[in-house]
Formats: sequence, C-alpha cells, structure tokens
Amino acid sequence: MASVELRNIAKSFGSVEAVRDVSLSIGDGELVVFLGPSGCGKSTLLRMVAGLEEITSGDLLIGGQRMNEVAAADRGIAMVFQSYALYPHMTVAENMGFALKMLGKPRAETERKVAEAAAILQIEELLGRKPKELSGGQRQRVAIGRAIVREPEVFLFDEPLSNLDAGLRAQMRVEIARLHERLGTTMIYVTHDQVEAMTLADRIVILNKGRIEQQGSPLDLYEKPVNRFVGGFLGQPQMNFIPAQLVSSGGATELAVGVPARRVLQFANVVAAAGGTIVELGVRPDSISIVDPMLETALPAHVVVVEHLGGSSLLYVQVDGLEELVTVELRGKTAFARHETVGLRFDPQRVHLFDGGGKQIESRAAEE
Amino acid sequence: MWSLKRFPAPWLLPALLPVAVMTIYPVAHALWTSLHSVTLLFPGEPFVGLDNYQRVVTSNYFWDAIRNSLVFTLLAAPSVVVIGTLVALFLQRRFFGSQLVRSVVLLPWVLPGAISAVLWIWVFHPSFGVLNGILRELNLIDGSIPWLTSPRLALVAVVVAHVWTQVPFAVVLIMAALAAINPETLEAAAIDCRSRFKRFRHIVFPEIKAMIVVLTVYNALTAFTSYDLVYAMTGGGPGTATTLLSFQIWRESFSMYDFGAGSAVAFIVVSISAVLIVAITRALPSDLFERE
Repeated sequence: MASVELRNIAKSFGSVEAVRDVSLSIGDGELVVFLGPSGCGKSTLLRMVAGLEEITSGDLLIGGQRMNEVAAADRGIAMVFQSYALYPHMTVAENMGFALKMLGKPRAETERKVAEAAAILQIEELLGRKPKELSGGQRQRVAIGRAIVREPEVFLFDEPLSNLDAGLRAQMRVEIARLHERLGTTMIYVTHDQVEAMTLADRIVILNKGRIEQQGSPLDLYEKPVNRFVGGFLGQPQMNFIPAQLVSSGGATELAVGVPARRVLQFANVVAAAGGTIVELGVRPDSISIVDPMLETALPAHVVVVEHLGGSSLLYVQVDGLEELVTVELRGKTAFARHETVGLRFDPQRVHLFDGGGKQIESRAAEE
Repeated sequence: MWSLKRFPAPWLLPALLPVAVMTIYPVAHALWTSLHSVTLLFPGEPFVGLDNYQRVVTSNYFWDAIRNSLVFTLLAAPSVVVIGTLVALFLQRRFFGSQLVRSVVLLPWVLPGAISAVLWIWVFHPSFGVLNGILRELNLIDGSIPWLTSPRLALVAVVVAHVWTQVPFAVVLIMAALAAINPETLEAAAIDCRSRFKRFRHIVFPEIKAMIVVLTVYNALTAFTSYDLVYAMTGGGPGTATTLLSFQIWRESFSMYDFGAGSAVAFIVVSISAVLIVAITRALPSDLFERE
C-alpha cells in the first residue's frame, strides 16, 4: 500500500494541453475516482501515474518516491483496462501469473497466488480457458485477478466497466467496492459514469479540460458543487439550470423567475445589484415539489411529458418564458397528466445560485 | 430445397471452379506431360513412364541445382522474415520522418526483378561496383572481391539481392499484424514486464506468429521457385554455382523444347515445395493451421 502524490502535473501532446497543473494527494488505502467528460484528461492523468505516458512537467510520487522516470513495471502499480487487455494466446491462469513469471518467481508461489486471486473473484473454474472463451464479465474478472496477483501498492482502473452491459456493470461495481474493502489497497479509478463514481469513491476528483474542477466526498460534491459544471455533471437526472434575476426587496434579496416574473425564493445573505443581477438557479429535480400554481411563491408550469419509472416519476414541465424544460422528480406514482398546469416550489435549502461565469454564489435562504 | 446446409457442394462451385481451371488442370496437365515424351521436334506424344524423371535426375546439373535451390531457400526465406520483422518493429515506432522512411522501405517491392538485378550488378560489380568501392575507400581491401564470379560469393550475392526485393512485402504484412494487436494489451505487458525482449517473446511474437508462418511459407516458395533475378544477375553461373532448379524448368522446356523433361523438373519442384510447406507448418504450429 502506498500514497500517491501529484505535484503540478502537466501533459502536452504537441500544442494540445491535455492535463494542466494538477496537484493532488491520495492517501494510503483511499479509493479516488477521476470523473469527467471524455477528453477531460482523466485517462491521461491515470496513464501518467501508470508510467504509460511521459509526464511533461511536475512530479509524481508513489509511496513518497519520485516516479517520473521509473519504468511502468517498477512502479508497484497494476492496471485494469477498459478492453480488459488480456493476453489472447494465454490461458486465464497464465494471464494472471504472467507478471510473477517475468519476475522469475518460483512456480509454486505463482500458482498459489493465482489460485488465491481466482478464489476471491470466483473464477477458479475458468483458469484453464483462453480469453476468447470467456464472456465480457468473466474477462474483466480475470483482468482484475491479474492485477490482484501482482499485489500492487496501487490499483489503477481505466474505465473498467464501460464495455459491460448495465446489469453486469452494477454487479461488478459492487465487487470492486468489496475488493477495495477486503484488500485495503490504494485505488485510482477513472470513469465518465457518475453513478460508478458516486457509489465507489471515498473521494471524487472532477476534471474538466485538464484541470481539477472540484474534489471531495461524493455527497459533498453532490450537495455543494462549487460551480455550474460540477452541479451539472453530478446527479441523474441532471440539475436544472433556470435563468433568473436577483432583485432587492426590503432587507432581503428575492429571486425572480419566468415571464411574468414570480418571486420564488428569498435570500438573506445575497446582495443584488441595483436594477437586478442576472444569475442561474441550479436546482436538482428532487428539490422541486409540486404545489398549487396560484400560490405566490410557486412558479406556474405546464406538464409536457410524464415518465413513470416505477419507484419514482419524472415530470418535464414548461415554464412560460423559459426555453428549456424543467425536470421534476417525484416519489412514487403521480397522477399528473400532460397539459396540466402545476406550481413548482423550490426547496430553499437545496438550491444553488451560479453567477455569469458559472461560479457558485454563496446563498442562504431567508427565514420565512 | 436449395438450402446451403443441405446441399453445400453446389454453393462452393463458384469458388472451386476457378481453382480447378487455374490450378488443378495445369498441375494435372504437367503431370501428364512429365509421363509422356513431348518435344517440339518429334511428332506424337508417346507414354514413356518415368523416363523423363530418370533423365532429369541423372543429368549433370540436377544435384547441383537442387543443392543450390535448397541452400538459396534456407538462406533467403528466414532472412527475409527476420529482417522484415525487425524493420517492421522499428518502423512501427513514431519518430521524425517515420512516414517518409516507411514509404522508402517499400521501394524495392515496386521494382521489377530485372531492374533489381541490374541495380545489384552495379553494387557487386568487381571493378566499378559500389560495394568494392566502399571497401576500398575504407582501406579494408586492396584489390577487388569477385562477388559475382567466385562460385561461393555469387550465391551469397544473389541471396542478398533476392532478400532485398522480398523484405518490403514482409515488412508490410508484419506491420499489419503488429497494428492488429490491441494497444492496451501491449500496455498491460509493459506494466507486467520491464524487458522489451521478453515482452516481444511472450506477448508480441505469439500475436504475429500466424503471419510469420504465412510469410515463411510464402518466402520459402518464392525462393525455391525464384529465377528471374538470379538469371539476370549471373545466368546461373559461374559454372553451376547459382543454377537453380526452377531455372531448369525454363531451360528444359523453352531452350531444349523438351516439355516432358521440363514438366518432370516442374513436378519435382512442386513436390519439394509441398514438403517444405508441411515441414514449416509442423515446425511452427500456429492457430492458422490448427484443426478445429
């Protein structure tokens, strides 16, 4: 086990800067997820930790030792790839034991370790087979087994579940979580799937355009996104972004939305410019409730589409004066039908305000 | 009722007919000719049994030619495959100008055999050849080495020229095989093993082995049946030093007009080639020729 430290890491491919000035420390035994859209630099960052990509500038430390120039095989890491990357001409057992064989470890020791890893992953009956005879899920188990056998200081996962179907993905996700609990090894996990990130991570690092946008525990990021990008990226269904205006009214500042404008929220600590400040209201679908549209603090809207998901329902509603539909998530079944007029009420404790640059504005709801 | 599963044979005809017309018929006809006395000068084509074979095998050139052909094949085919693989591994890397070098390497492939021969004669020519010139410049030799007129050196010289013409094709095929390897597999190998050589041996080689077998078979056949380059460079000489068996097919048939004897030599060449194919595929088992 080892800690991993990235100090001002940057990577350029020619004139393209894939990773810019990333600093991060990952504690011993921590499971950190790099999350971001494709092209955000998360895989490049992981590959630099692995030694598969040269580091343009900055320092990489694993277990306190600088690793920039150390060969991938000597970094004490093991990696699980998206395409599994099994050696096609070798059996499962040979695949898993390859690294130890190359290190010249005694055969008995290799076989014992392969058997142990196979037992953990319940793939004992596959040991004699070739990769082409395995299903996707089995292949990924073997790839993980190959990593376990090496007893690495750090596990690296590069979108390991992306090639699996949804059911299998959920199952493997749980297995990886259990594996982390069991081995207690430092793990870095790259994904673009926020569900994987939310469920697996001790800490999520959200990357965008080669930079860290925000890092923290999954719920922290979910509840307190520092900017519009993080708010929009985490959470399914996505956060609603509603154009709004802050206007002063007596001692408080009110938030006006829609045409004609309704003053739907009041803030105690936000100061609006004279004549109003244009902002964006970020509100998650589960922070909106349906109320009587005639209420003064309710925002009237028409139901456009209703989706019944069994445990919950999604309402897509049109607010007059807004271009985009607003998504509302309701528990259980819903009796609302298309074209019906409803009132939206935003949970004042769970709304986010973003300024023109997408940065979060500190806001506290006024006591009602 | 014409379903593919119940009556597979008729559906194979479009593929089998051209093979029958282009391969089986000529080979069968050659076999027939080799068992008859077919000469331009005498009418009639009487059956002569194995007479033609006996005449060919007891002729003064035969054992020299067969030895030369086998030595030529044993030197040329493995050299082409090994050099081709090394060049492909090198060209696969990206470096400044790699695109240009890749195209230049293919050049010998597009030259006709006779042109390559002229080129190599200039290289090996005793008095004004490039090779002797360089060796003299470097003060490695005083006089000139008779590359094409000394029996031993002449065979080496034609092997070198032949290898030069065949390497590009090998490079292309090996590069294709290398490109087909999942890059993540190679990266997994880089994490599992530091030594480049071990990685090649345990990961890359098994992946391109089928292609190497195909290339070895192909090159063994090309070398064993090669004649244009050798004929243009040395005319089979000095003496019989570079006389190849395949050259005798042409000589018996179109110089002596003894088609029976020519076909007999051709049939011997085909038989030895078949043995070579079996020997190579046995020695290098790969998925390609594996039974399901």
